[in-house]
Amino acid sequence: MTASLSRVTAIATNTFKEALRNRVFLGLLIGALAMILCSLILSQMVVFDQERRVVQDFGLFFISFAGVVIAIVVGVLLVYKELQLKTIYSLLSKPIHRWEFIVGRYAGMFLILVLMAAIMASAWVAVMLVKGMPILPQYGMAVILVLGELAVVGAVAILFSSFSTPILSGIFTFGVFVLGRLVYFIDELLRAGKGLFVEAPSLRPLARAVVQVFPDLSVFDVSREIVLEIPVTWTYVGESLAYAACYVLILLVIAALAFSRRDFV
Amino acid sequence: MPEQVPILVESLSKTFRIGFERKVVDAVHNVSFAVPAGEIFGFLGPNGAGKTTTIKMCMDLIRPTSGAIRIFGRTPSDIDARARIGYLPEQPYFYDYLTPTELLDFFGRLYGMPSAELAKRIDEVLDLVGLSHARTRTLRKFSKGMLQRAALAQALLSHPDLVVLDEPMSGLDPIGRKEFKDIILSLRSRGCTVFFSSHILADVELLCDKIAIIDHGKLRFSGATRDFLSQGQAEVEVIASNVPEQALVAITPHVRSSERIGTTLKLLLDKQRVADVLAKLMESKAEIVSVVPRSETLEEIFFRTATGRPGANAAAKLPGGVPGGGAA
Repeated sequence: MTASLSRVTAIATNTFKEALRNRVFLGLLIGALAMILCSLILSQMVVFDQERRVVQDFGLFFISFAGVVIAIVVGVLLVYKELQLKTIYSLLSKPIHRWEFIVGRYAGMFLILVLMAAIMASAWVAVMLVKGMPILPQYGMAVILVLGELAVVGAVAILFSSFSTPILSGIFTFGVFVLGRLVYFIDELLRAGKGLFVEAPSLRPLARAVVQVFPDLSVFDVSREIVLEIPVTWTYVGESLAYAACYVLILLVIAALAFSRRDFV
Repeated sequence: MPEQVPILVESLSKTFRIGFERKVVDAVHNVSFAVPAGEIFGFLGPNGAGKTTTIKMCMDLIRPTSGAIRIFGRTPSDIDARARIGYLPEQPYFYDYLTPTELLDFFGRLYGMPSAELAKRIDEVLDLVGLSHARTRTLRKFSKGMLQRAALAQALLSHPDLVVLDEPMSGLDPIGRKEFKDIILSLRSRGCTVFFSSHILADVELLCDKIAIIDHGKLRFSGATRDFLSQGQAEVEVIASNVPEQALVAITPHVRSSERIGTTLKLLLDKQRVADVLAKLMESKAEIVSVVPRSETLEEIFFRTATGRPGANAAAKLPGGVPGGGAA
C-alpha cells in the first residue's frame, strides 16, 4: 500500500509539474484572474448598494467558471497527451498498476485545481479588500464547495479521456457539467404536479435516469446564500464534499477499469 | 526452471480489428521462443513483421489474444516482473518539459528506489550514456540521438536483470552505435539478459548469442546465431582481369554472379566450382588478381530466406526497403 502511495505521489507530482510548465494552463489562469479583476470594473457600473453583490456574485461565478474550464481542458488533455506523445509506453512499462496511473494523474490535476482556486480566491479577496468590503467565513466555504464541484468535473474528464478522443471527451464532460447543474431543476419538475413531465410523460423515465445517474452539481453552488447572506454551515460543506468524494471514487474506478482493458499500440 | 527464464513466449497470437469494417489483422501468430538468462537475444524481422507488437505484449502494453508470456516465471501484468525489466521503446518519447535528471528521478521513484541511491544512480547512468553535460537541459532541446541516450539511461536506471530494447540503434551516429554496442556487451558481462530488436543485422550478428526471426507475424527461426549462420552458403570471390570473351562464355555456367569494373571481373562462385573456373581462366591467359573464400553474412542469409533472392539485390524487395531502414 505504501509502495502504491509512493508511485501515485510520484505521478501526481509529475502531473503538477507538467501543468505548471504548460503555457495553456498558465494562459487559462491569467484569463481567469483577468475575469476576477473584471468584477472591479463591473462593480463601478452599478448603483452603490449593488456593488458588494456584484463583486461577491461575479467573483464566485468566475472562480467556478474558470475552474470548470481548466478542469475540463486539463482533465481531458492529461491522458490524451500521454497517449498522443507516446510517453505512456515508458511509463506503463515501469512497475506500476494502471489504476495508479489514473489516480496519480487525477491527484495531480486536483492539486492544480486547488492551486488555481487558491490564486483566484486570493484575487477575489483582494478585490473585496480594495472595495473595503468585509471578508466573511462563507467565502472560504463557497470556494471549498467550488473545489468539490471541480473534483467531480475533473473525474468525469479523466473518465472520458481514458477511452475517448479529446474533443469528444471535452464535449461529453461539458454535457455532464450542464446536466449536473440542471439535475436539481429536473428533479423539482419531476416532483411538481404540473409542467413539462406532466405534459410529456414519456420523458419521465429519461429524466428520472438523469436525476439518478448524474451528480447534482447545484449542491456545490452557494452563491445565492452568499449574496442573500443566508448562513452556510460546515456540516453542509462536509456532506457536500462527501457526496463529491463518492462520485469521484465511482468515476475513477470506472476510468481505471476502462484504462486497464486498453491496448497501447 | 521457468522462473530462471527471463522471457518465455508460448503460442503467442495477437489479432487486431482495424478500420470501419473491423477488418481482422493477425499481427502475431502462434509465436514461441525463450530468451535464456545472461545472453544477448536478437529479435529480427522486416517492417510490420510483429516485432514491436510482441515486445509490447512482453511489457504488458498490449494484451495477447491467445498464448502466454512469462517474465521470470510471472505474467507481464505482474509489477514484480516489470520491476526487473528496463525497457527502451521504439522511437522513445518522454516528458519534454523535464530535464534528464528530473525524468530519471521520476522513473526511479516508480521503481521505489531510495532517494540517496537514486541520486547516485542518476549520475552513473547519465555518465554511462554520455549525457552528463546535458543534465540540466530540458528534453525538448534534445536531438534524436540524445533522446535515444536518455531512453537507454532510463532503461538501465534500476539495475535491471533484463533489458528490452526496441530498435536501440535507431537515430544514433556511428560513434553512438559503437558506444551502445559496448554498453550492451558490458550488460551481458555483468549477467544481465538483453533482448533487442534491430534492423541493423550486422550489429545483431556481432552482438547476439541467439536470435529469433519473425515475418508476417510468424516465427521463421529461433536458435543460436551460429546455427542460423551455418545455413549460409560458402562461396568464393574471384577477381580477375583481362579475361577474354571466349573464357567468359566458358565460365558463365559455373558462376553464381559476376560484375565487370573496367577490365576487371569480379566473380562469385560455389566452392565446388573454383578449380574448374580457375583452370579455364588460366588457360585463357587471364590475370588472377585474388581468390577469397567468404561466408554469407546474417544479412545475406536473412534476405535470401525472406525473399528467395540473394544478398543485397533482395534488400530492395523487402517491405522495409533498404537493410536497416524503417520501423517495425
